[in-house]
Amino acid sequence: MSLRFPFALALLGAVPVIFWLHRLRRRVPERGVPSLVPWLVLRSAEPMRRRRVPPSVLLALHVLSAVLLALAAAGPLRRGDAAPSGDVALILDTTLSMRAGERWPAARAAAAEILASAAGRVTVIELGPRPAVRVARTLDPSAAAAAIEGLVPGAVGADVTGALAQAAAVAGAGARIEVVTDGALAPVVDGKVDGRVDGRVGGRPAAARSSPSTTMPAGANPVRWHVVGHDGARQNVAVVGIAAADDAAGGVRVVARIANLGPAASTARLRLSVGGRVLDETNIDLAPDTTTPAAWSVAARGGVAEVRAVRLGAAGDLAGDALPEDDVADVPLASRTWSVQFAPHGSALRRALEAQPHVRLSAVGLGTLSDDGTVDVTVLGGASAAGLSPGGLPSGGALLVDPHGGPWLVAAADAITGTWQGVALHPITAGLDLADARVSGVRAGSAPAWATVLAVVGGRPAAWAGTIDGQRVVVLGFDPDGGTLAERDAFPRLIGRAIAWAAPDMPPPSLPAGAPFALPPWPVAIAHPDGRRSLAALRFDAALVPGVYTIRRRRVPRAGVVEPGISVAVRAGDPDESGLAALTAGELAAAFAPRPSGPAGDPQAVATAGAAPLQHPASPVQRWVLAAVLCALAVEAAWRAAPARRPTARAAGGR
Amino acid sequence: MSGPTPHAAHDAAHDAAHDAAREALLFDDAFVRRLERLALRVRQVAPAVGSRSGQRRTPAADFVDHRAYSPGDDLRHIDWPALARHDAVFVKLGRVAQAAEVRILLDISPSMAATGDKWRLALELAAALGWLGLSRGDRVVVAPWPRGGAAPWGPASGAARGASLLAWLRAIGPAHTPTSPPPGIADAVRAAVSDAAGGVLLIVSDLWRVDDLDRALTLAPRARWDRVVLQVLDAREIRPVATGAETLVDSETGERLTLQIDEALCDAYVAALRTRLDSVATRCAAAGAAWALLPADWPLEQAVVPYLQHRGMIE
Repeated sequence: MSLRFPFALALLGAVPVIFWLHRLRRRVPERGVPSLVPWLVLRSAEPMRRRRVPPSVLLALHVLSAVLLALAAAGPLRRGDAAPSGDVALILDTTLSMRAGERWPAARAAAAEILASAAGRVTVIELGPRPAVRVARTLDPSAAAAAIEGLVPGAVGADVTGALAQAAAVAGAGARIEVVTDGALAPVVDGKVDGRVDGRVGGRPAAARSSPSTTMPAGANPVRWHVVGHDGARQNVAVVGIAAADDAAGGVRVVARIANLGPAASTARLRLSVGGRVLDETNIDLAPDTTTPAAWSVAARGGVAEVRAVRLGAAGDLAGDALPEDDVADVPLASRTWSVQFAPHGSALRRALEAQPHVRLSAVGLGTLSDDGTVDVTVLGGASAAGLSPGGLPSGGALLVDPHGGPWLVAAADAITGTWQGVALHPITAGLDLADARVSGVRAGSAPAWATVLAVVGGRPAAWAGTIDGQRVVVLGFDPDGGTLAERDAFPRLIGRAIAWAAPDMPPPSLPAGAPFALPPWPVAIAHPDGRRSLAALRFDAALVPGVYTIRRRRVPRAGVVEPGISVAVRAGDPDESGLAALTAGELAAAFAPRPSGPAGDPQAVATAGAAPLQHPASPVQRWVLAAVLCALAVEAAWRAAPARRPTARAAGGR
Repeated sequence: MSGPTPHAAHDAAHDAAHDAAREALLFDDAFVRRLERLALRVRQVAPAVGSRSGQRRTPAADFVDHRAYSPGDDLRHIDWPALARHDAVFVKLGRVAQAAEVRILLDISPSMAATGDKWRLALELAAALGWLGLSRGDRVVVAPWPRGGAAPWGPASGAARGASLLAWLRAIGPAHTPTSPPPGIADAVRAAVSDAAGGVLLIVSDLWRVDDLDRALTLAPRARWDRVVLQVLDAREIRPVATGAETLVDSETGERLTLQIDEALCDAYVAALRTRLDSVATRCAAAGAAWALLPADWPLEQAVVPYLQHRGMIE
């Protein structure tokens, strides 16, 4: 057993005060006696006896009340008890839309008000695409306030149900969950922002259209929604998408999507610049709740292109936009390339590799395979592939061509020749025209268990792919130099797709702020737009500040070698997050109600409760004060109602 | 709304006790006849003629002794047979019927009226003792003490004055107002014995404030006065009851004392009271006075009178 507020036991100090008050107010009855003469001699003999407080039922009730109040105020907790109702889990929306207008100051004020009313432990959770617990079950209000002070809105997407589940798990059953948001929530599905626009953006937040990705445990915690900035500005123009691709002229085609997320038609000034040099600037008219594509051809292939679309105000100035952060988006103009090391195996494979536009090819021998984390894909063929075990592959992916045996296949007695037949819809083979191509040298009797067969020849696997020991491996189980497959136009694309699939995940060139992106399995150093640097591997989810992030492999520097790095442009604009239309508290409560519904999770009940303005129920502290006052009044009433022992006229010998 | 003040409540109880005692002061005929067969034990009688046979001889019909005839003696008292036998003239002598001076000092201080029983017994005692004196032809004076505005009753003698005595006792009431300092008993004794050479002095009191009892007893010299001190105490005064915390208010001085009255304190009270009674008895004995403690709940006829007879105060 423990106490939530041990200092409240100081209230036990009221017990001697009660004794003192009783002694002070003791109503000693008076009785007339013929004479005090025989009693006076006893006065000195009974000094202590006279001062004693006589025991009474009222005194016992008073003392009992004080003790019980002190114990109750101290909050005794048994081991395993559910969290007391005074605990609060505060979920604070830090998505980009909170930057609009006065939403963020209003949200902080609401959060401070909630903290002030909290009587128990406080948990603070940052609501974004990946909810994060900033303070867990603290009794220190200043720690919670400091955590809130340190939050900066800017992420795109909000995993509301994840945050609710996290709050329930961390704060414990019975804790009150208070969600402070602007109501403009873009849902997160399976860890990614659900950016579906459905041809219409900004009208209603996607939360209203999409079911939560997870469900709250039934009957868990009461949830209250506090929507701030509901009546704020909603006119917003944003660059919600941007991409760059090589064009036929040897340059780069930059395509951007400009969204008018407000309810009124707007005019925006659209500007394209590269390296600080403005290449194009024009005004465009945008219909309400629509996106408008814009495209430019840029001759340069390097650097970063910036597209800025600023909504013009009524007077033609630039002051009419509610969320300036999402008016600009960058995209790297340089193409991505993969580093491929290749042990020569036939001319057809070499030609196909050399034809890949974004592959830096290096020929190596079997004994000189590089395994320093600089190679994305290793291509091996024939006996050299057969001699490697899965654990012996260099880091990165692998493309094995015509392995003669080994762990990559269950070899059959003979090699056959036949016609290519695709059997699985796979990113490597989807859409490739390889039907009826002759394939020779198919040695596998069956594919290994970890692989997915992509194509068969004569009923025996000819190509398969899968992941083993965390590495993606593509196996082409035939001889490319035989048959007619290598003569098809689709063969280089098959090789290119196999390399792209096998290569470790790399971040996309442009993505919304806060969206996590995959990284290679080796450590990388990430340079942030604000100059900070951080290390990461496999996954990075801290790209909250819009701008260009540069990712470089982190390895031992070699003299004279400059690691090129990969640029990732993070933008604030997002079709859902930039839409500032907000759900009401009731709609939010209904959208994120626990399922199945229970007494605490009835959507209608929660919506009704949440639809109220920012009004807090009586907090436990207030209830204790109320209980204490009521108890004091009851005791005082009993005190006054207790029949006073009046002085009696009964004399010493009276009958 | 306020309740009665302690003093007001005390006075109301005081009056009620007085009324109850007055109503009880009715002796039936049988008790009166029994009283008439009793008499106060008196060693000193007054020269006045009464019904009490005195020590002095006088020619009388009831023979006690002879003396030689002297001229002037009533011839009816000559003992003629003795003249015939002895050839000398003798006169028959008898005792002179004399009266005694009876002084009853009745304590009417508030402490006596604080309880009904005590006041009732005090009045009954005064009435009975006075009746004894009157029926014997004694000169009876009943003096209230402290006197205040009340005048003493008497002197009177003869049973015919008994009704007057009872009427006076019914009319007299205890003093209401606490007095401070309480009056001494010596002055009352001096006033009571000043008009007589001797007799019997009866003091009926609770003796709570009698610091001058020794001096008072000397004012009525042992040689001439039979002094009887009757201390009347209520049963709760003799043995209080544990009532918890109480503020005791002195009926005479108004002084207050708050005590936790429990069994232990009651035992201590009894011990202290016993010491005090022993002191009073010793002082009375030293002065040659008789002392008796009379619990107020004793019935007069069945307990008090037999007890006084047993103690030799009534014969």
